[in-house]
Amino acid sequence: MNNQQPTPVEVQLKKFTSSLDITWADGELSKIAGGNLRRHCACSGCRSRKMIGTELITDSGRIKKINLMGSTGLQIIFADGHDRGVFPWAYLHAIANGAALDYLDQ
Amino acid sequence: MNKQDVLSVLESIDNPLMEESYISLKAVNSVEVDNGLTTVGITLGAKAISLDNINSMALKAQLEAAGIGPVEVNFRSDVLAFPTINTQKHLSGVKNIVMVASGKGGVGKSTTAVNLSLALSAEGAKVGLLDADIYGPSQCAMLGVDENVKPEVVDNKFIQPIERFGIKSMSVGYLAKEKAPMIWRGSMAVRALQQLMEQTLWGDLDYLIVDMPPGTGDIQISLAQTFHVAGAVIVTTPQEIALLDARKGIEMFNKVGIPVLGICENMSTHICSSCGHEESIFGAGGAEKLAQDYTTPVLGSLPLDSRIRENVDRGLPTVVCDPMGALANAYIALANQVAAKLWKSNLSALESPKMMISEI
Repeated sequence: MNNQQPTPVEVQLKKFTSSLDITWADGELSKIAGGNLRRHCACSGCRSRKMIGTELITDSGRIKKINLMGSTGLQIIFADGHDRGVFPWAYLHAIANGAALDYLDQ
Repeated sequence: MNKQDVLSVLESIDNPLMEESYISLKAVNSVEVDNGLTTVGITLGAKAISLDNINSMALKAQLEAAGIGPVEVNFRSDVLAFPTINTQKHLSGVKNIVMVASGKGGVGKSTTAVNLSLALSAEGAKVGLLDADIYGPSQCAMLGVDENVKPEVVDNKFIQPIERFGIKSMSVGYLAKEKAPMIWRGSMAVRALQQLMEQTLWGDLDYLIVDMPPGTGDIQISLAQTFHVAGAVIVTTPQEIALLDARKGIEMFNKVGIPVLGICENMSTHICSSCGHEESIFGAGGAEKLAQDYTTPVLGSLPLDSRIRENVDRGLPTVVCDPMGALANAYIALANQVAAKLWKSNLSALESPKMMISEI
């Protein structure tokens, strides 16, 4: 089917360094820092704030927990309690490759 | 002839429905060669029992033509479950959740969903039908369920689906008071649907068909993201406006990572009941164009025929009302394609990634 989405094989949350390591089906390894994920959170609140231009209140990128959301992607729960962001696999892949904004513009 | 020879011949024989070899479909269950007689066991991952006999005869003939003495072929089918489905506890007996959706209303989603469900059931599958159109539930009427029939509540927690024509169905229409409109905000509607999905005692199902409300809003996205949906069937009419919206539907499913199994073109042509003239009222070839653009197949085409409408209005969908008719056959063909595409998609579906958490 027309499913050219990047497929994750392994997801590792490293709590101490607060980073996410994702191994994709083609062997590529993405290391994404928690702060990077927090900045790119695509929940409605964060997106509207970005649109208005107000600053992020907390800069904590510490990740408390990750949940698998169906086959879509990951829900990331940050240590500051922010849990509204669901990150589709393709978006995570885009963030790791510095193409997050392109993904959102699509 | 030994086992290896048989397997290598099987590699070049395609299953006609899947257009793929039995080997690459991982459908070959057993091969035994005993005293010159070869026995081949095939397990199909899709229910299409009307085709099983003829396909097994064809396979037998092809194997014998390839020089493998006398052959006996045994066909059985066991629907392949969507790989990540067993991680959802309430729905653990449901193998595949399939959404029937469109971008636009009025293209015949509910009619297609109910007839597709019945056709899948006629092909030997265990089928459930969830009416997710909570603002305008129609499955109760289409299935001809009496207004006074209410689903039984079990343990104050679960509800028993209503069985009709061999399929299990659930709808807000069964629960709400007659004719009272649902005046709900998005979040309330989403919660209500999640509960309908999770708290219905579906039991073991091969396919749970979800008749989606039109659009690409709150309800659609939340449903798509909360449940492990195996695939979506997009219903459209050939007219330009409907195709435009169908496009948005496909884009939405792509975005949330649900495989689009294909497109069902509804109301494709009209055959005049008095003179027999065939006319494409809504235009022609639109679904093919759409299918090409998104490299997704056209699963079936249904004509604009007043009988389809009359039948569901009467609570007796076409597949059960006139099972031998051309229209029922078209729905059976659609059901075969949906089952086949779902099998194929599940074969290649992504397995759940391994999740690890380390303290360092």
